[in-house]
Amino acid sequence: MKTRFSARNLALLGILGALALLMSFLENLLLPDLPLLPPGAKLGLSNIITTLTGALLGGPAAFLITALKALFAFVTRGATAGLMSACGGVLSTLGLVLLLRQQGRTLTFLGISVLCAALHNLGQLFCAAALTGTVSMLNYGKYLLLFSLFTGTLTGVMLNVLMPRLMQVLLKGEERL
Amino acid sequence: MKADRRMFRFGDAIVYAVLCALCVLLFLLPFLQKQNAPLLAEIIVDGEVSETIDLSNDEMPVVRTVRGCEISFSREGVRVSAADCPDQLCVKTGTIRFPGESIACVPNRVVVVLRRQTGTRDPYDMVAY
Repeated sequence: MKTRFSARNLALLGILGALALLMSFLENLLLPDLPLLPPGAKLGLSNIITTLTGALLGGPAAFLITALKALFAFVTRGATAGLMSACGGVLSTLGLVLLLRQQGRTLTFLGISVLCAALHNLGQLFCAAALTGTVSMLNYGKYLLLFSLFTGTLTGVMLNVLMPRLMQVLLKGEERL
Repeated sequence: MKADRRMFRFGDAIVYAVLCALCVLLFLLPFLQKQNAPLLAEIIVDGEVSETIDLSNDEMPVVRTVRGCEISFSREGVRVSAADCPDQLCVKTGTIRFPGESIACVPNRVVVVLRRQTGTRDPYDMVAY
C-alpha cells in the first residue's frame, strides 16, 4: 500500500464498492418492516465497508464509496432517498476520517462506528427537516439516536473482529507481490 | 492504522457515555412541559402550516387528504392511513399521541406535528388580585 491509487488499491476499491452496494441491498431485504424500529431506520451494514475503506485506503476513497452508495440509492429508490443517503453519508464519512486518526490509540472501531451511525442519522434528519421545511421533525432524532447506539455497536463489533484478520490477509498478499 | 486486537478503549466509553446521556436528556425533555393544555395537530405542507386541528374538539374523528396523504385525526392521536408515496414510511410510523411527535412524508413534503396549545386560550400562568 505504498502509492494510494496503485492498480492494486484500485482493484481493492472496486471490490469494496461492490460490497457496499451489496450490503445496502441486503439490509433492505433483511429488515422488512419490523414495527418496533423507527421508520426509515436501517442497520447500516454498508457502513462496515465505508469504515474498512477509510481504514485501508484513506479518506478520499471512503468518500468515493459514500458517493457510490448515494448514487445507488438515487437510481434504485428515487431522488429523495438519494439525497438523504448523500447527506447522512457525507456527515458520517467526515466524522469517520477525523476519528480514524484516533483508531488504535484512544478509540476502537466500536466508538467510531457508534459516533458515525449517530452522525449518519443526524445528517439524514437535517436533510428531511430541510426538505419538509419543519424544525419540529428534529424531535424524531431521539429515536434515531437510540437506534444508532445499537446499530453502531453491531457494526463496531464486526469491525473490531474483522479488521485484525483482514490486515493479516492483506499484508500476506503484499509480501507475495 | 494499527492492527491491534483490543476490543474496547477509553475513548469508546466516552463516546457511549456522551451519546447515552444525550439520548436520556432528549427523551426526558417532553415531560418538563405543561401537561394540561389541549393537543393540537398541525399539518405542514412545504414548510408552511396549512391547517391546525384541535384534537379535543367535538368533530373527531376527522380525515383530511393532503397531497396524496390521507391523514386521520382522532382524540387519541393522528396517523397517516394511506399515502401515494413509494416508501410508505409515513403510514408505517403509525399513530402519534404525544406533543413533539411528528409524521413526515418526505416525498410529498407533508408533515403532521403534535403540540400543546400555548398562549391563545389562557395567556396567564396565574392571576393575583
